[in-house]
Amino acid sequence: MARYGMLINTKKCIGCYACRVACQRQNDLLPTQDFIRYEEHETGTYPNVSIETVPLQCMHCEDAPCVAVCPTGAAYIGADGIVGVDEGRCIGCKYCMAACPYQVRVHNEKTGTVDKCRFCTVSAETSGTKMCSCVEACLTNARIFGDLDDPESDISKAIAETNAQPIAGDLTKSKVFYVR
Amino acid sequence: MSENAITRRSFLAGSAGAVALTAAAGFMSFDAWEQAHADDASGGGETKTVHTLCNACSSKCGFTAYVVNGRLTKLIGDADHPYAKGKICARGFGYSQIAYSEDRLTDPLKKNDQGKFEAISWDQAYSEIADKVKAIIDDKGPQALAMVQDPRPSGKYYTKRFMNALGSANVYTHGAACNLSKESGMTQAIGTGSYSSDVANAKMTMFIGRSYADAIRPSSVAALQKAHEKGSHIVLVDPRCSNSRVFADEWVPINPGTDLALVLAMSNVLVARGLYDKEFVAANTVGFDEWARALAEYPPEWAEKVTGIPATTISRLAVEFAEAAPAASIEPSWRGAFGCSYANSGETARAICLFNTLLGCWNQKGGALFTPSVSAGKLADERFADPKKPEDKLLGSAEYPLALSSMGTNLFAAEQAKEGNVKGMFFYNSNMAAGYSNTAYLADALSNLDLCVVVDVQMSETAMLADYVLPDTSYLERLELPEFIGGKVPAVALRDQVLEKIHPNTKPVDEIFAELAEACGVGEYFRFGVDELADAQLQTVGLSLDTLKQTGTAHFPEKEFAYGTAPKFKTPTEKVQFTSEACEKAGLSPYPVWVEPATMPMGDELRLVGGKQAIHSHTQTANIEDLMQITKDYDLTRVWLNADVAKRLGIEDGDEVEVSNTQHTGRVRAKVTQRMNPTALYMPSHYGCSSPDQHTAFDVGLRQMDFVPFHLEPAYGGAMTQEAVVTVKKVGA
Amino acid sequence: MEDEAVFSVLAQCFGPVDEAAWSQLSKGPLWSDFLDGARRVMQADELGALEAPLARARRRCPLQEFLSSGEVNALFTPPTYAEKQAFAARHFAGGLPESAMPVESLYRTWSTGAAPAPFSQQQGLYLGDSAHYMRELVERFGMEVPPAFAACPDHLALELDLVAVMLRSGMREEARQFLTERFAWLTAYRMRLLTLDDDARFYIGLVDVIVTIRAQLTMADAAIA
Repeated sequence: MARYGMLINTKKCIGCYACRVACQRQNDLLPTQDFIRYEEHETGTYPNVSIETVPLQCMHCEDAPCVAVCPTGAAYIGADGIVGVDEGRCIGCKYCMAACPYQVRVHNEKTGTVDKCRFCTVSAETSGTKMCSCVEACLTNARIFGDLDDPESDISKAIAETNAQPIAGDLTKSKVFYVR
Repeated sequence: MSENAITRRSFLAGSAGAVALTAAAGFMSFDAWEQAHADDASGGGETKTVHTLCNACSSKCGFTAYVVNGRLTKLIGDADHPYAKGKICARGFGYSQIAYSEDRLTDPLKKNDQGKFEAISWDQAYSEIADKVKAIIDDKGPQALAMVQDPRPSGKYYTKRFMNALGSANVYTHGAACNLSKESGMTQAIGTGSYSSDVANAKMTMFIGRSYADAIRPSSVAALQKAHEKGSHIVLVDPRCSNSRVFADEWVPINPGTDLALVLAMSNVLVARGLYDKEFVAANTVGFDEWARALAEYPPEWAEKVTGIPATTISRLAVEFAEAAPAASIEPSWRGAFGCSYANSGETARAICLFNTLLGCWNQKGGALFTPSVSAGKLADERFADPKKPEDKLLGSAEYPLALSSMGTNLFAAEQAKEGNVKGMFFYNSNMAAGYSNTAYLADALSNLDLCVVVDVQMSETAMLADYVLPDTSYLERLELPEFIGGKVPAVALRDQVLEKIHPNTKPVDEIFAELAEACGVGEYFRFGVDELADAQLQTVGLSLDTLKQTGTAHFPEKEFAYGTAPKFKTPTEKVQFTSEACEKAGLSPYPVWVEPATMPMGDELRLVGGKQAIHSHTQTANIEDLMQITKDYDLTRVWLNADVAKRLGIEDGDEVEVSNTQHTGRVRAKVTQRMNPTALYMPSHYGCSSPDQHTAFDVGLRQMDFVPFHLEPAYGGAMTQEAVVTVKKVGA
Repeated sequence: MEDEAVFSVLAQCFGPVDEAAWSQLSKGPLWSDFLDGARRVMQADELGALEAPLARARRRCPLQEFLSSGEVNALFTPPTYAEKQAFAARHFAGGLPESAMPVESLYRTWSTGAAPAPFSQQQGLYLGDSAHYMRELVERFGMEVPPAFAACPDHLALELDLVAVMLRSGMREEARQFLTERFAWLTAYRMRLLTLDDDARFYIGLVDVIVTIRAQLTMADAAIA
């Protein structure tokens, strides 16, 4: 069984929001459902400034706080390690939103339930795009998706080469790695 | 009609509507229908794919549209489209929503006596417009009519043909508020309005006011990224530290309006130190000595005071350019800092071409290239013959002699409308009233017309001022003429029809102008379908409409660009012109010299600068919910203010501020940042929509053009959109 | 007036009809027949079938029971043809500040997943699920959506028209189900009409007639259940 993960290279991110809109469009989301959110940092003082945009989304943690706090079992970790939401069981209590250290779970104002990045590649047969919508859309190829357990996968090689790290270290055993 | 007949009337066609259905006819509840279609999303529906072109900005990137059961589902950028390279940007994804938007115009509209719009028939619209057109021509001649359009593949053809058929030469692009000064200035120096910097292969490229990462064309972003990853030296000259900073080595935060001083001073360094390509200059240019003498007045120490950039930096950049030459250039920009911004924009463009000439970089690998393009050949079919060339020249060509006649200065037409010389105006794909210059002036000018006709998909601010509004189909619902694209390997691409027409009473641009021409008595020039013309054009380059529909894009590899070929300069002297007779005749210096901006900030004033955000195009996409939600989530309507200035003014990040000048006053929140030059205030160019029919965009943020006075750049006719100063204060302070 | 005729007339109020037809409808006895018929349908607990004595007694309820006096007055004085045309030109055309297109798709979620779409959860877009459903249903019945309604097979005029057709064909149960399924959006549409600058009381009155009929049916269904 593959262990899916993603690498995001913020040194390549131009903060253009293409991944957010592509994700929303190809996954039928509301405009307010942003599975990807952005943190923008500026460092230095005028005129010696550098900037960084950090796209954040569900980290598909192995040690997922959202799953731990969910009172109904709607938040779960699937057999493939992907953190999922069983919409039918979600009662909209938002405990998971409070628990998520990355603040990437999104309330659907229409259904009252909570949702988040689904690693849509894995459901590619149904959603149609070959790769996660965000990975396909990225203009600068800042994102790589793949199997973390396969040492020959692009993502495994890239993580080794760039020493990519989860955004918050060992906090939740996140499967999204960042180059910063 | 009997009472019985009238109460049994039905809209539902087919005999069953009026009488009874057969008992066997199967009713299906909505629940059951939903069940039956539950599988469509996962491949159960009937899927077709169509290659077409985006319309979210002028790049017109190619993509493949997936349509399932008649509905648009996915968009995938076409890998072989030269601009898309397999990607589309956020705007491309978002803008597709326009097709189904509730804000779509569905019927021809006429403004009634109370100033309110009401739906009328096409016949009525055409005949009333034609009557007014004829009356204007009878009274003042065809030159009292003018057209403004933002070029699109079919639109640019049909609007021009319509006007010329009427005998009017007054066809304007949006250029005066975009890249008119830049294209016109460059033409004076190198005989063509632009070139392309070979960014991906350069050792050094300087961008002045342009940001590939904020005004996105995927192929440009890719080139910039490639350059950065290969270690090319990328310099951003901009009062605002744009998002291209990620792929740049340095940000040079110039005082806005002074780019010309920087280019003159760098030129001074190259000439004074003999660091220019003497051989190239000797063989390919005229007037160098005169300019070289004039440059003596512009050493880096002088420019430091004007631009705010240290003299040492200016000298260093010039020397680095010389070291990198000929694999180096100043990128040509588009609208950016000198497309239409200042009193010196045209001259800045001219100077940039001359600087590149000093580098000897024309057609050199990594330098500045004149890439080939292909265009349709002569068409044998007489139906396509051009109307007689209008006798008069485009209005404004005498007053603004340097403005390219292919664009013209639409602001002059507006001025003539205000003065009563232009009586009828048409607009296609153009929101002049909100985006081109001072909004109050333009509203006043357009209100003075006898006839104002707007063709658009939604109620723009310009449409609000019209007498007649004609509803266009969206870009997803029509076939257009082929779009030829210049480049290293020139190409042609097609906007094909993706969706069936959604609103039955809308019409594509080709039909609208053909039928309007018919009503005006010049229909003989439009006796063909857009498909016939498209096919005829493609046949002249060895293709056909059917073949291009299959691939979306076709290339012409036999015309591929080769490095090192001698550039042909289409100037009167066939050389690079350090001196231009036309400029001199227009009252400018024969060679570029320093020209002060028309307005300079004094005291606490700041210069108001605009610029794009990656998720919007002008004011065109602000009504798209997906995109506007990003604006709201990240508070993107904020004006950017330098942190030291903010401190002095007692403004903190996120504070509501009042922005004010003689033209306008408005409130918005401020972003306090290290990313701004202290003499400027940045206001994003997309907001402040004042058309209540655009439910999503209406009344969000401020509109830059409300603050810009109505004025035109001497000789070039640009809108001088950044010749405006404002003061900023904290609300309630 | 028969129930089916009531719905036919309602449809013609929201759809385009010619001057002769509108004059015939809106002037004279036909219009008062319609109002009487509308009153009856609003009071019926089942379309057209009123047997219980109590229900028969209620049958005499005046329109005022259900509608405001302003709406009643408006319904008693239907617009002239020119007024009807002017209202349609200002409000039943899209993209205007005063647009109030009577189209179901604009007032419901675009698609609840039945059809794949990138905007499926959004509201206020043409050609949503209700439009596709209507087109399919009309075609199943061997009829066609007229070309002028191509962008909105779920136009109120067509939905009402279909009710009339079903009633006329003896599909009483189906018409009931269709009415309860389809006309929930009118509550939101009524709100839109209320915001117009122009006097929309005639149309609001008509909408209230339909909403009342629907409410009556839903209550009856609930009582049975």
